Amino acid sequence: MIIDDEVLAVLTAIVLIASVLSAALIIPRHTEPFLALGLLGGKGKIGDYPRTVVAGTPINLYVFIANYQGKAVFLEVVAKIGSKGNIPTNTTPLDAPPIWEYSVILDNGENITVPVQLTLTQEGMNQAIVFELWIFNATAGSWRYTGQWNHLYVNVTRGVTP
Amino acid sequence: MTGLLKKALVIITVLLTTVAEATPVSEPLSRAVMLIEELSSEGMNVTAQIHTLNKALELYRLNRTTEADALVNEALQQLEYLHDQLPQYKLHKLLFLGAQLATFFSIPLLFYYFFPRVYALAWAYVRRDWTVKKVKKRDNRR
Repeated sequence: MIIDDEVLAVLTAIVLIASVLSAALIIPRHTEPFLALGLLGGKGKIGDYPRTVVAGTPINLYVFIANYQGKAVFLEVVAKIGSKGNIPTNTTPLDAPPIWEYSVILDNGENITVPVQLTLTQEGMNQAIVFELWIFNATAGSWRYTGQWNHLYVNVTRGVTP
Repeated sequence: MTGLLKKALVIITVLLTTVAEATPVSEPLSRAVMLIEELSSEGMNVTAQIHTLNKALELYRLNRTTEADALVNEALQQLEYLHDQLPQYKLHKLLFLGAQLATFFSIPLLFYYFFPRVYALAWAYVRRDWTVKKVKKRDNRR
């Protein structure tokens, strides 16, 4: 086979395209930063969420947190008790005292699944177990609500008296 | 004017309700988190320090404050050291990226220049045992 000018031009073009694509792949790109918060059932999977809970009996859940902020961040999940219509919004956290807290530093691209054991003592229908995600603003030295939350409605019933 | 005032009040209320509330953070831990954020955003490996600080947070949850504080200070020392290395690391990273790009972009040029020559040499090498004979032309005009 003879390598004439035309064949060489085609081969060089293929090599050039491959080089440009390879170079484009190694240039660092900034992706859209985001955080993820998920609520999992007692088996650590989506589903099997408790609907009815006996007051004073612990319930088991799992909270999933993932960091894709492009840097390591200090996060905290706060659990609170709300009610129907009294849950957080994208801008405002629930105005209620925390019943459970978990703080962790996650590297970029890292995630964690944390077991949660909560005991609800007050009876009532449609109580909302709210999990809010907070991020630590190191420059300001304070926590900031990320606007992300999960909630689970449960009916808390009276326990059977022996 | 009243609208503006209302808007400002709403913003202030939102800001007040979206900050604080969660667990208080000590000064060294806050500083360590700030350094970790900065170093990790530059691509530095801070996995070991994150691990140490998470261990400290676990100890804080168990109210073993003295041990936790010691771990935070240990991580902070390492982070301060890494922070001092940051300008050098950034320069190395930039040079390495530049070298990689230069390599990728020089490949087509090198290919264009060397490939025909190498191909010709290979072609000749494969046929090194061949002999060239002069063939007499046949005269068909008889």
